[in-house]
Order: sequence, then structure tokens, then C-alpha cells
Amino acid sequence: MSLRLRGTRSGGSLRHRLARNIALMSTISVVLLALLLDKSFDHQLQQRFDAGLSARASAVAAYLGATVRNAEPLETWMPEFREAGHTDFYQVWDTAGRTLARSASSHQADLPLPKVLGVQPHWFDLHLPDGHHGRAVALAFDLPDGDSRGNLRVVVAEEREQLDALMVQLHVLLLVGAVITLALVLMLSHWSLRRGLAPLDVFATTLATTRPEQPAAPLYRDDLPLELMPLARKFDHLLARVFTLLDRERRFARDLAHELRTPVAETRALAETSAYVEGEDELRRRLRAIADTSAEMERTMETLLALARIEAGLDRPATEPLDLVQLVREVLARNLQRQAVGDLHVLGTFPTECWILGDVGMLERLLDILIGNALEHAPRSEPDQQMYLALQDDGSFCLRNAAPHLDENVAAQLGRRFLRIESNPGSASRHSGLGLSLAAALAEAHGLNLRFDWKQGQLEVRISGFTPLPD
Amino acid sequence: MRLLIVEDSQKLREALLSGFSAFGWAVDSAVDGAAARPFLAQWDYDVVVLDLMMPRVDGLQLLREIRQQGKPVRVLVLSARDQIADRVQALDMGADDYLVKPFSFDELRARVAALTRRRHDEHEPEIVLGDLRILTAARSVHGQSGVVALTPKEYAILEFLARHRGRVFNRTALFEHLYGSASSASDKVIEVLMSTLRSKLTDAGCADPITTRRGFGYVVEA
Repeated sequence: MSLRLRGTRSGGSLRHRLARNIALMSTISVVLLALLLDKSFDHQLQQRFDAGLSARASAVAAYLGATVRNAEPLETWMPEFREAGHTDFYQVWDTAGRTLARSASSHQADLPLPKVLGVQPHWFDLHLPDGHHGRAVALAFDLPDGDSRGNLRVVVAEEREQLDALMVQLHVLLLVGAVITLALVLMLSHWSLRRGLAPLDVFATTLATTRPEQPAAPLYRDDLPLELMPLARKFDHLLARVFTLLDRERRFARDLAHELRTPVAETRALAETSAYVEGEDELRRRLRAIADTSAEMERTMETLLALARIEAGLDRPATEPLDLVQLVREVLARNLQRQAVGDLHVLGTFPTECWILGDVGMLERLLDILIGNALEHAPRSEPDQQMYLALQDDGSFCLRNAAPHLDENVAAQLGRRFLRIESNPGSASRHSGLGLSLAAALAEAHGLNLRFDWKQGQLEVRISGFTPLPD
Repeated sequence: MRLLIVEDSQKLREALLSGFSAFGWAVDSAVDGAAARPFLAQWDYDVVVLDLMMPRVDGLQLLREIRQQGKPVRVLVLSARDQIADRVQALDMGADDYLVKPFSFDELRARVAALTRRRHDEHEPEIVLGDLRILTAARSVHGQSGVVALTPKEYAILEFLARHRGRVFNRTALFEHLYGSASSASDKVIEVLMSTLRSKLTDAGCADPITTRRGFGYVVEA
């Protein structure tokens, strides 16, 4: 799988860049190696050739220097110099420059004698008497004192065309070898790069094909290169956070739209149908209803915003020591002032004090929702109803009241958003379940366990998991 | 025309009830599906305006029951759910129309009127009775000399009889189609309405299309 990024100026594909660099470096390496080998082979061959020439020149000089007159000619022992030979030649001069001897293969032709000749052998290229290209060595050979010839000057030459052909052959072999090696290196590097960078392709494609509409596929895979693993983990984490944020935003917008549709419809219908009603009292009643609905919309928006903030982790608990008993009493008193409870008896069982670590604001709001809901939904039709609040020995807060219109199934769904349940019979209020949703979110953000149980017409709300003060 | 509004929002329910009543509809209302069941069992409604999200028995459950019972009533779903899937689900389950909240009351009224026409297989929003033309969409009656000014109830009784030409309806039957079940009026009001309706038609120079059959009731001859 490959990825093409269009419309952006980039440094090109990483694979291409690596391939280009590898190709360049491989070419340079192989060419240098071939040149080095070529030079080395040339040098070795030349050296061996020259050494052979030098050895034969020494042998020729020694033989001719030591040979007594009328002895066997040199060609007897060294047949390559015979008349039929055409690859090897020699010629010997005395100090005066007179030719003392030459190979039969020379056919009386002279070999060139270097003007300056030292003790060390001197090698040089030349054209042989038969016209072929050759190489020669010249050396001076000291004769014993008293020898009338003085010093011997010896030149031994050999055709080098075979050597040159061998060198050319080696050049070609090296060139072909270098080209084949280079091709193999390039193919292997291309294959290795494709294989090695495949996880990067998958990584990039997964990232590039990530759409905000759907959760991203995980980038982290067990077969990822080690170098990419931290990157993939980090990206996965960031993408998960981004998608959570997107989901939360979408949910907020959807919830807001959903929850405001009915009150807006109420307001609009009340306003539009007011044209058909008669009497100022009815109009006033409708205006009050519109005002109530507006207030309800405001509460809904605030609740949804609070829910969104808590779910986004923006409202984190700032814990401090607080007396839970005092807090419950304050919230209860405030709610009793706010709502007319009629014949409802509120009973409480509390210790003198109960100090915990908690966020006062969040706990106050949580208790306010639960106590407010309990008071609002307490049955009004039956006399002498009771609402019971307690801080129990296990440190949990318990709130119980009559809820004959609920059942176990509904109780199990309390805290779910947009749960439509029958409120207090006869009540004009409409509930979307947002209050208890907020309570559930507050409890969760605070690390508390909020539980609703319904038994025999009684709804019990229990909050547990308060953090006691450290000893 | 008889209408049942099933909506858990009391304010919306009351607003719709007063709005439709003002146009001469006989309107009943129920707070949820469970409360709507007795109404549906007792009365023959032209249209049910049905909310979806309600406590106890929700709108879809009630819609399923209505269709299972084979009632010919038209159902207009009125819901805060605006997703295509929600509309498709409701329409697939037998709803005749779907309107998302918030809505214009005039649009709702027009859709309910259109559903009523469809129930009575009327393709044109006009009923012609001799020289009298009843424009059901505009809820107006035209004679040779122009528009006949009728009250909503007078119009409703004329339209109802015109829609059911050839069928005789007694006072009680007409009352049930004109007044909601919560109405405290007596069915004698039908006689008053019939009298004022006939006077207005006569004053407008139109022939009275309604025949009184003593002991049986009223009929517009086919």
C-alpha cells in the first residue's frame, strides 16, 4: 500500500530519497572498489612480469659473464631465445658499447639500450625486433677484475601483448562484475526499502485516511519498527482524545438540539395559538407558560453545559476537608425553603458530624439535585408521606422516599439521559432525566458510587465511596 | 373532524388543543400512550397527533398498537427526534406523516387537514354541493355571492356532512365529531349550530344542502 500526497511541496518520498542515496553510495563504492582492484591487479601482474624479466636478465648476465669462450650458446639452455622464438629477446653489450651477444630470435636486430644504466634494473616498454609491443629490463653486470669486457650491459625483452590482453580481460571482468554487483545492490536495497518501510506506509495511510466521522483505526501494531512504536502509541492516544472530544461536542450539540426542541415547540405553539384564544387571563397564563418554558430551556442549557464540562474533565474535584452532615443539612434546608412540601415529613438520621475529603461545590450540587428531585416527585395525593435521609455507619448517604409511579426497570435506568418517566401525577413539569444524568456525572467525576434501587414503592438513592479524612 | 393529541408536554398539549379547537376540530388530548388507549377505544378519530418520547407507553408502541388493531385513523408523528432513521422508523411502522419540533402551528394544521382529506379519499381540497363550494384547505365556504362567513363549528358540521354525503347522522354523532370528550356542552348545541348554519347559507343566497330526517338526523344527499 503506498500513499501519494498531492498538492504539497515536499522533499519527495522517503523511500525514493533513501533509494537514491543508497544507489549513489553503492555506485561510488563499487566503482572505487573496481578501480582499486584494477590497479592492484595491474600492479601485481606488472610486478610479476618485471620480476620474471629481471630474473632472466640476471641469469643471462651471469651465464654470459661466466661462460668461457666456445661454450654452449645460451639458447641451448634457454630455448625461448632460439631463432624460432619470437617472444623473448636479449642483447649484451660491453662497456664500450659493443654488442657482445644477442638472442638468435633477434635476427641481428638491436634492442634499445638505455643511455644511463645503474646498478638497479631498469624496466621499460619497447617495440620488439619482430614489431610487437614488449617490455624489457636493462641491468649492468660487473665482471671479475681483469675481464677484458669490462662490465656487461644486458637487456632482456619479452613480448607483453599476452600480458596486456590479460589485463584487458581483467578490466572487462571487473567492469562486468561491478555492474552486476551494482544492479544486485540496487535491487536488494529497493526490495529491502519496500519491505522495511511498509509499516511506515501503513502508518501514513491509516493516518491519512482517518476521518472525523468515524473512529480511527489503531496505528500501533506489534509488527511496527521499534522506532515507530512510541510515535504510534502517542498518535493513538492523541487521536483517541480528539475523537472523544469530537464525540462529546457532537453529543452536546445533539443533546442541546434534542432537548430544546420540545420547549421551543411549546413556546412557538403557545405564541401562535394565542391568536385564537379569548380573554386577557388566558393570554396572561400563556405568557407565564412561555416564561416558564424559557426558564426551563435555560436550566436545560446550563445542565448540558455542566455535563459537557464534567465529561470533558474541565471540572475536576478540588478536595478539602468538609463535614458531610453539615452539607446535607444546608442543602436540605435550602430545598425545603424552595419547595412547598405540604404533608411530607422529612426524617433524618445523622451522626453529629462526618468529616470527609471532597469538593464542596460538586457535592453540594449532587445533593441538591437528589434532594430536590425527591421533594419534587414525592407523592402529593397521599397524606403523611415520609422522606428519609441518613448517613449510615458504612459512610454512605441514603435518601429514600415513596415513588409509587416507578418500578424496578425504570429505577435501573435513572441517570440515563432523556429518560421520560411519569413524574408526580398531576404535575405540569416535564423531565428529561438530565438532572439525574448530571448527578451521575458528578458522582463519577468525584469517584463516588451513585445507585438507585426501587423496592415496594420506595425509591432509595445511595451514594457511597466518600473519602474519609486520613488518620 | 375529531383529533387526538398524544403529547407529554402539558403546555404543548394545551396550546395545540386550543389552536385546533379554535378551528372547529373536536380535540381530545392524552399525556402518554397509556392514557391515549381509552380514547382510541371509545372514539373514531380522523387524525392522531402523536409524540414519540413519552413515559410509560411511548409513541412508537402506541402506533404499533393502532396499526395492529387495523384502525383507519391517520397518524401524524410530532417529535423532537430529527434523524432520518427516526422518521423512517416511524413511517415504516405506519405513521402517515412526520413533523419535527419545533414546528409552525399553521403547517401542523395544514398537514392534519391534508391527512383528513386523504382519509376520506379526497384528492382535491374542495367539495362542491350544488352552487356551494367548500374549500377544505382554506376552511371556507363559497356561495354564488361570495364567501359565506361561518364560525369554525358551523363550518365543521357542514364539512363533516358534506364529506359523508348520503349518510344520516343523529345529533349525538355530530356532537361527537365536533366536540372533544372533555366538552361540557350538551348535544342540543347541534340544533343551534344547524339553525345558524342554515340561516347563513340562506342569507348568502345558497340552497340549503342539509336535509333533516325527523327521528333520524341530518344528511347531505348524495
